[in-house]
Amino acid sequence: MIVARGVWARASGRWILRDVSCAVAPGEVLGVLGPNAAGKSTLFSLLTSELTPDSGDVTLNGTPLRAHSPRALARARGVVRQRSDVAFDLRVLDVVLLGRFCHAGRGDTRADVDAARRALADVDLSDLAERSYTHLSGGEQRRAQIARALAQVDADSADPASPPHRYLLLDEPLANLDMCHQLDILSLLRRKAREGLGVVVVLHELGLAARACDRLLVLHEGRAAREGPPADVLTPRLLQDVFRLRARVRRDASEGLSIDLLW
Amino acid sequence: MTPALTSRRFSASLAGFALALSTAAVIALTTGALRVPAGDVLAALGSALRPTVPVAVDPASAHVVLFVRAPRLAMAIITGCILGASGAGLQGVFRNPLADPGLLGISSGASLGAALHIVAGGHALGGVGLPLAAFAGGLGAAALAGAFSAGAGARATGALVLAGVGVNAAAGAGVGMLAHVATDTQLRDLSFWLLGSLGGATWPRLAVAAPVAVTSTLALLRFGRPLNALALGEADAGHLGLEVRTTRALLLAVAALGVSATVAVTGPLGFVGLVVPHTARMLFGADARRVLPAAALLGALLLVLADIAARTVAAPAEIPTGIVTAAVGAPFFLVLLRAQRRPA
Repeated sequence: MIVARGVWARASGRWILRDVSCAVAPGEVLGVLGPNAAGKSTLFSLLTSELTPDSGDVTLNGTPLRAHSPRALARARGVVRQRSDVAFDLRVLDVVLLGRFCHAGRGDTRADVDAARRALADVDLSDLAERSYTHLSGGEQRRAQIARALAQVDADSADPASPPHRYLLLDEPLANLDMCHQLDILSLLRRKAREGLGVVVVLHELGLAARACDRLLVLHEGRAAREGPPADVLTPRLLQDVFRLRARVRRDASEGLSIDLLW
Repeated sequence: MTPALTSRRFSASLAGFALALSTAAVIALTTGALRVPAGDVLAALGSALRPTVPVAVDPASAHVVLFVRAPRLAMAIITGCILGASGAGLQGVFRNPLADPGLLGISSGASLGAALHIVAGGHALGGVGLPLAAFAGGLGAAALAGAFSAGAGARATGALVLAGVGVNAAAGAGVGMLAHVATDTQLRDLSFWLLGSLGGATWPRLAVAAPVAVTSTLALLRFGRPLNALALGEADAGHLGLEVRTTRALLLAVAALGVSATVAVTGPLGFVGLVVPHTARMLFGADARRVLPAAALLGALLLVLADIAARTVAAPAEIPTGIVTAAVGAPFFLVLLRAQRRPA
């Protein structure tokens, strides 16, 4: 499990997060939602150990994040940040192979290359493997970064030092993606969760989040407004209070939740 | 478009450059104001290895080969290697293709050390006094830049660039001040040193500089994978499992040590550390595991060729090597740049 317990975080004297708790278990997708400046990215940074909480703690598989070495952390979870730029003109395959950094000894083994190729296939980029990363479109770069994180936590080629429970953390992975690839990525995350990964994903697309996530955490002004299964969380009342949206929420037995905005 | 070389073709290319380097080395030993045939060069080298066996080589030729050209050639090779490799390493750490060893204040610190020795140091410590002063200056400047940027946390790399600018400026002021109070002879020595030359290479100086420079070069070659991870940025590199701060500190220290050791003997040889890694990337792609060894080899080749030119173009007079590296390397680089931009 990745667990955040009562975390507080401050920036420039202002509290960004106040007493937020959340947890993600292997096999489930946790969606983090909230309007701009609700504290989503700060919570994400706490979960990835990029920031340390001013109070409260974050644990991974039962141990505080800071007690893990960077390499041990990397073997346990892949991270896709909002923005990633590559300074030099590496090939797409080389960028994805960097996900194997925490596993490999000297060079890229066959298992590493296989994991990278599988990940590229997962995000529909196999054809561009030999291309230069900097020449990809924004959406393709985003998918390449997701592939890089997938290769990092690939189940079939995990080395013996990898922990049994692994996670994927993604901050707005759908930004810059066309609708088709947005759906592809979300169903990919669902599939990876079924295969045993724990997934934390920060999203803006409420309707997609409702269908793709097992549980949702809605942040509002630095606090957890509500947490639970999508149907319990995304009520017209909450959409009004937190997102200032007038909406009708329909529950459909076969298709799940759908949100109609009234405007 | 990144050239996607197979590893076999990459190895072949490296072997080709190594062959070119050996050829250049033979030319460096035979040519100059005094022409020494290749056979005599070999005989002289052989006699140095087995002093008891008498050989029929003109003693003057043997002396030129063994005590003037050979140390100079060795210096060119180790200097080129460390400048190329550390340039590649620093560009990776700073994630900026414009970074070079000068950024850390090494060259200007070494210049200040050299200026102090020339102007105020008399002839302390004989032949190794000047290099030692320059070495201390270069390393001191890098350490100072490092100390001023320490504690900047996530912004440490940017802070280091700014600290380097500050140290460069301060050292420059010091050199200017010393030049102002120097006598005519001191001024001539100083400005010659500042132009950069391999002419000062002697065996005793090499004995001091070579172990440091060679060890540093070999250490830098091991940073290929970490540098590739750093290409994604420090935050992402950390998520990939890299100890970012340790790696960065280690690489900077190794580069500063190696470059200071050679700059101390040669004076600042600008341009090599900047352009050689660039050229290596254009030829072999951006994978640091290839760029590092290629940059070391190309740096050595460039310096050996530049020094041959420096000694022969205006023979028997000699041009400072630093002028030649810039004069030869810059147009070569511009042509490569242009060729690369042409659509495939």
